[in-house]
Amino acid sequence: MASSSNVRSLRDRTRDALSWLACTDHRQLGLAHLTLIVAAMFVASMDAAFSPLIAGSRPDTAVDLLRVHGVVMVLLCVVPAVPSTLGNFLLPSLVGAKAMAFPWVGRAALALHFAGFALVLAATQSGATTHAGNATMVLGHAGVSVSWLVAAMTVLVLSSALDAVNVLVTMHTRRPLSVPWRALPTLSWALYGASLTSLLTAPVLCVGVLLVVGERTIGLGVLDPQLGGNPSLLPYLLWLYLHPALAGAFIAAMGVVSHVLAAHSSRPVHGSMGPVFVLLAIASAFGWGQHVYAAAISGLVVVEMSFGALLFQVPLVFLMTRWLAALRAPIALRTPMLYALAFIAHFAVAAPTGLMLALPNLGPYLGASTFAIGHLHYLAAGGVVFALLAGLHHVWPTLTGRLYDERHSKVAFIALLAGTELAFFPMLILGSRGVPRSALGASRAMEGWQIVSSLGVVLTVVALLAAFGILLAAMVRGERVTHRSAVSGNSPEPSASELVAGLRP
Amino acid sequence: MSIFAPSFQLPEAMSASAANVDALYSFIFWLSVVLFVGIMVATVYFVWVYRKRPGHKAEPTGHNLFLQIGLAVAPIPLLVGMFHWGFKGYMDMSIAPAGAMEVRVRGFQWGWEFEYPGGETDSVLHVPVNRPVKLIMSSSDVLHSFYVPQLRVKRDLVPGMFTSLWFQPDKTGKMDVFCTEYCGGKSKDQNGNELAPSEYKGHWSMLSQIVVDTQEDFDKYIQGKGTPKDPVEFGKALYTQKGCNACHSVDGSVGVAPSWKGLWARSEPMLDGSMVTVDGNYLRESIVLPSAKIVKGYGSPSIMPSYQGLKDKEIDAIIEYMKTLK
Repeated sequence: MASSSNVRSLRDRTRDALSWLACTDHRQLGLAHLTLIVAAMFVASMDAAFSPLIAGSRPDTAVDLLRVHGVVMVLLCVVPAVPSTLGNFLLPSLVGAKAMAFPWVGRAALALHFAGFALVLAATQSGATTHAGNATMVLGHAGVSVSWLVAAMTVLVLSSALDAVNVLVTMHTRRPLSVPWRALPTLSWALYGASLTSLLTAPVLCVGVLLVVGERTIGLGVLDPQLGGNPSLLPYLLWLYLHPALAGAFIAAMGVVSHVLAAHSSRPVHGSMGPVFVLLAIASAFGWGQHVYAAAISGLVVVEMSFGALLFQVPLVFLMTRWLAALRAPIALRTPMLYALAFIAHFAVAAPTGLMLALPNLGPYLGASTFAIGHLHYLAAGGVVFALLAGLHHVWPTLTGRLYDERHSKVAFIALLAGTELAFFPMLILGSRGVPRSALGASRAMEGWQIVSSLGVVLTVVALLAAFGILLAAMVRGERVTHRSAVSGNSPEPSASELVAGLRP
Repeated sequence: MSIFAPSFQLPEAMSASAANVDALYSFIFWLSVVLFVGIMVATVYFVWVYRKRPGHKAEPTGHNLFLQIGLAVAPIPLLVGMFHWGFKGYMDMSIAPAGAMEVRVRGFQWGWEFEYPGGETDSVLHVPVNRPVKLIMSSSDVLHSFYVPQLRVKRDLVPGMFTSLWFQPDKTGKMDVFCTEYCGGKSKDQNGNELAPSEYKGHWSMLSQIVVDTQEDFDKYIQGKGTPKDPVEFGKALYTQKGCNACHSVDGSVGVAPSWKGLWARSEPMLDGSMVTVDGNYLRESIVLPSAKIVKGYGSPSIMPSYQGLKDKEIDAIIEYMKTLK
């Protein structure tokens, strides 16, 4: 990473807001992405926290808030969370490159991320959200806000795709010739897999967006039942995008956890995990059908999709055994390690609940209930956000040259862990009992497990504020890093640049 | 159905297929519990035993190819077994046995209509116990989804297409029906005025019930559903059965659509500036082709679905009922 003088100049530059407008430094880009992602996380968390409070008096607004929560979280937070932050911070050093292959493409991706952020907020504030299901609702919605929303989706998907091109090209062309693929660290493989899903699914969402625009402007008649269309096609397209996109976000998260586990148990993660991530990325394209078992799809599609989803579990079992095996080494329980261990626990909940949802007789029942929402949050919050925090705490000292307060960050971790379990485990309980996920009615809003879950959401929001606040405070006035051994981000997993140094002494 | 009891279990299964779903759920649930506990115990054990202490170094784990391949292959038979169990259950729940009672289900914003083989209709579904029932479903506006937790079934209703679902309840009782495809909602009337919260209609209010009766009770119910002799009574029944009450009030309050109170024989201004006297022909046209004439102050085209399927007798009865609402 950066030498101490570079570290200081990076920090000086971060103070200079103007320099950000033209920056192409991959670490600065990563920090800018991180700012947008954290901002989106809080906007969306507040929506989720407020929704139950008004479910009794304003059920329509309560449902709208949850839909805004979903759109903002998925598009602006979960999907870009790891690749555009930790990916930018770490990829060049992981593969032994000086910088990303296309600095200005990275810059353009940030500009699109910012534009998409503004468009999503504008669209959702004016009340347009698209539940994955209802094409006709989107079509029937008056006003310009739906156009803003589909524009935002296009812009954000392009942003991810540009970042993905940058990752793929960097790994293919900026790697020193002496470093073979098999010597690349696992995290770079995971970022490669996540980039593949971003790049390959972007056109699918763009086709969906084009269809919506076509319906609204020239009356295309593909989706609109009034014109002989089939509104089910839009959810198919959305899931064909969303399933791999969310899988990609989770693959990147698994890469970060492998990286952090290796660093904090003083050894590289054993075994050839890297290609497994790329395999998972490709396999994720064959899982979208499990979201539409209840739609009018053929039995053949159900066979393909459920079998594909079950085989998806095989590499997950493999990864779990690798992670556990990696723990048999001196373990320093620093904050990044705690987040990584919590990720393993959440993974052990998310994988079997995902298996249940993928089975064609059980899936529709559980999928219509809050069980599916619980599963999604164990992946997205307990998985992706925990991995993001593991990775951020891991790289923060080397990135900023400052140490965060270890004790404070551990307290924030415990609060976040408690908040996450309280918020999302009740969703699995309620869901297994058949509480529909989208019918947050007045009578059921503030009872029993719902209250526990709502309190958990509040605790989660507070803990997230604390966790990111501690990192920000460290950046501004943390203790300076004096020698490398004090830095928890001192990974013993050899990066390619270190490999090169070893190969050519 | 007490869904807020603090225990972790599925609601009562009301059919044999639902019981099969529950068996698979329980199998995976307990397998997951065992694996989760195993993973957590291993994690805590390793974190404690291998905690960083001076003089301790990483133990080499070696590279055991057979162990790796074994771990990769071991879960496959188990997963294929679950796939077989799940897919067989799916096929059993997809293919209705011959001789099932066929009920037409229409979903609309925001309610359900059930039509029995004899043509009787209702907004709740009564079925006899221990007889297969096949639902043939369609939507008259947007996507809806028919969800009955106690039967463990969910099926989408797609405009312009039939979808179907079957079940055979094996005990008498009541079950809740929900829509699980977000299908919109209204908190404002056509003029943008806020409605009182009690008048909000939407996805969240698209609820119904399935009542499983004994065969005798079901026969009695169907006989009772026979067309009432008095057309006013019949029209009043149709007002709720067909979902007119979702938008049209009978007490003069104006929501998303004109109230029926005092509508008969009134002169109404239309969007195009003409005046129409509300008579039988106008009402018949507005029921069958809702967008043909739009009352001033409401949007065009009309948000009301066409009720082309109504029989003459039913339209007559609705008109007779309107006449009484002065």
